[in-house]
Amino acid sequence: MKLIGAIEIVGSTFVHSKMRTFLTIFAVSIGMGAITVLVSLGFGLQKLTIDQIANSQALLTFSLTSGNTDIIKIDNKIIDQIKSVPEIEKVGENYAFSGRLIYQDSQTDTTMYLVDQNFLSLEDLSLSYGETYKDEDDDSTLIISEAAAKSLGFDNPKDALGKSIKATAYFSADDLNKAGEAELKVVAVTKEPDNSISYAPIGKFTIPQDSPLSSVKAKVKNAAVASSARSKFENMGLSVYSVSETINRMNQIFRIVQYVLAAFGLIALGVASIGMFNTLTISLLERTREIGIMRVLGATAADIKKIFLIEAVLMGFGGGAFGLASGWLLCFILNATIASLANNLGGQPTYPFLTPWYFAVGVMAVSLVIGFLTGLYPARRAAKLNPLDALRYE
Amino acid sequence: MSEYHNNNARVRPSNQKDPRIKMSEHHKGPRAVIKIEKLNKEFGKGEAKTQVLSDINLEIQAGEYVMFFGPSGCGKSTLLNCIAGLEKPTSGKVILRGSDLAKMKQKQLAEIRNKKIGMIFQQFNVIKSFNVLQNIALPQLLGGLSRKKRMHRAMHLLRMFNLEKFARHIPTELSGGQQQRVAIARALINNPWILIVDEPTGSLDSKAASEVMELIEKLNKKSKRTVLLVTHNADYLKFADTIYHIQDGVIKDVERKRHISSSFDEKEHEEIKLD
Repeated sequence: MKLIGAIEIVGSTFVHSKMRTFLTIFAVSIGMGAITVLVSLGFGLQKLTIDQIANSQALLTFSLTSGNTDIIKIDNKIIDQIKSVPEIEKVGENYAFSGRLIYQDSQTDTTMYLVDQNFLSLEDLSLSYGETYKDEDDDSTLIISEAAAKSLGFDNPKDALGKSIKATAYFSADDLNKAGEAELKVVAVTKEPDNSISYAPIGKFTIPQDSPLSSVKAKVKNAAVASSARSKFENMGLSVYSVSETINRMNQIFRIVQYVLAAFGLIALGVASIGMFNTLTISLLERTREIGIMRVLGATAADIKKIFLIEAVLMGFGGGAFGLASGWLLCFILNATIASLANNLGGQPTYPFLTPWYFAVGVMAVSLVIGFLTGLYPARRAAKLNPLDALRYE
Repeated sequence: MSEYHNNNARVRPSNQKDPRIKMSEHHKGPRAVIKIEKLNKEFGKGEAKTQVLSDINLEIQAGEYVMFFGPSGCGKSTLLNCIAGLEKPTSGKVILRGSDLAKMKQKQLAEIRNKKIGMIFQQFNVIKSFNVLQNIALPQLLGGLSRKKRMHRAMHLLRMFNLEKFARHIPTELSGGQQQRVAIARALINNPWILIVDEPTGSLDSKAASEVMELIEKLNKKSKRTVLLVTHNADYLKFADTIYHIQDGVIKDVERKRHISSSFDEKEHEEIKLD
C-alpha cells in the first residue's frame, strides 16, 4: 500500500469518528499550547533583560584592567601592545584619580575619570541630561553624576548643565600638591544617583608620565575574533572583562527558567499523550474487525502498522499545529495587552512573550515524535493480529 | 480416503501439454487452478488438539463452480481459509496455479488475496467508516492504485450492480442484500481468478438470498469465474458443477454434475459481465 492510500484510510477514520479525533487532538494541543506560552514567556523575559544590559557595541567591547596584582601597570608600553593586536578596532584610555569639584561655595569629593574620546564612546554612559561632548578641546567637557550634582547644591541635577565648575584631580595619594586643575562647563549628567563620579578629557589635565592607566577599553572588529583577542590580552597579564560574560551567565539562568516552564507544560503534554494512547488503543479494539477485513483483502501486517502509525503521527501533528497556533495567538494577545497597558501607564511598551522560530519548529518536531511513540504500541499490536481472529472479533 | 479419484478422469489429466493453454514456466504440464494434496489441519495442542481437516485431496478446474456442503463445524470454512492462505495447514499442500502457498512469503499471500482471490462472507464484512464506493475500491487502495483509477473502476462495478445511487452512503444504511452486493463488487474489483464465498446468504432474507445466489451463478456462467462456495443449504446445490460433501473434516462424497474443461483459463482475465 502506498503512503497516500494509508493517509486516505486514516482520513476516513477521522471523519467517521470526528468527536473522538477532535477531542484527542484538542487535548494534545492544550499541552503543546501550554508549553508554547510558558517557554515563550521565558524567551521573552530573557530578551527583555538582555536588551536592557547590552547593545551590540557593549558585546564587542572588552574592559582591560591590571587586575588585583600591582605587578602589571597599564602604561604606554602596554597600551602600544594592546593597540598592536590586529583584531582591535579602537582603544579607549581611562585614568582614575581622586578628585574634587568646586562650584561657587559648594564642593564635593569625586572619582575623577580622565578619559579620551574613544573611551567615552565605548563606555556607553547612561545620561539623565545633556549629551557627551564631541570636541575634547572645548571647555564644555565635564560630565558629572547626579550624586555629584546634588552635592554641589543642584537640587535638580539638570540645573548643573552649562555651569562652570573647577575640577581637581589628585595624581598622588601621598602628595596633594601633585594635582591638576581645570575650569570646565558641565555638558552632561549621568544617571548614577549614589556615587560622585566625574568624567573629563585627558588633555585638560597635565598627567604625570609615570601615572598608570586605570583601565582600557578595547573594541574588537567583530564577534568572531573576540575570543582570540581575549586570549592575547590574557597573555599580556591583563584582567579581561566583557558584558558578554554576564550575558552568558544570564542566558544560563534563563535556560533553566525555560526548562522549568517547559516542565510544567510537559506535565500537561504527558496527560494529553496518555489520553492519545488510550484513544488509539480503544480505536484498535473498535477496528479489530476492520483490520481483519483489510488483511483478508490483501493488506500486509506492515500496511496495518503503517495505518495506525500514520493515525498517531497525524494526531500528534494536528495537536502540535493547533497548540502552536493557539499558543502563539495567546502570546500575541497578551503582548498586545501588556504593551498597551504599559503605554497607558506612561512606561515603555514591553513584550514579555517571544516565540523564536526554532522553538516553534521544536514544538512541531516534539509533537510528531510523541505521536509516533504513542502510536508504536497500538500499531504493533494491530499488525500482530491474526486476520481470522480479527475477523471473528465482535 | 474418498473414492473420488476413481470416478474422475478429468482431475488426473494426461501429462501431455494442453496446446490451448498458455503456460508460464511454473505451470508446465496439465494443471488445476487449485490443487490440494494430503491437507491436514489441527487446532490446539496436546489434549486440546482437534483434527479439523483430515487428508483432503482435490483439484478444482478453471471456471468450475464448487460447493462444499456440510453441517456447521465440519471444517469447510477452514478449508476455504487454507485455500485463501489465511490458515496454514498442519501438513499437506495447497497449490494455486502451480505455486505452493506454504512456500510463499506473507507479502506474496497478501498479494494473491488482493489480486487473484475475491472473498465474500456471510457477515458482508464491509467497513463502516468507509462509504460504499470506498469499500468497493479498498482492495485497489491496498494494492496501491491511484485514487482516480480505483474510483472509476468502483463506480463501474456499482453501476453494473445497480447500486450507483448508494455510492456515497455508509454501508450500514443499506439493506443486507445490498450490503452483500457491495461486498461482491469489492471482491470483483481486481478481476480475480477465484471467488471464495462463505455462506453468502446466511444473513439474508430469502429474496435477497436468491438474488445473491443468482449473481454468483452469473459470475460463474457468464464471466467464467471459478467459484468455491461453502453452504449448509441444500437448496443451493443445484447451482454447483461439483459438490464436496464434508463431514468431520473428511470429504465423504464428491458429486460431479457437469464436466468442466480447462479452456476457460484465458477468459479469466476478461472483464466481468453479468449478461
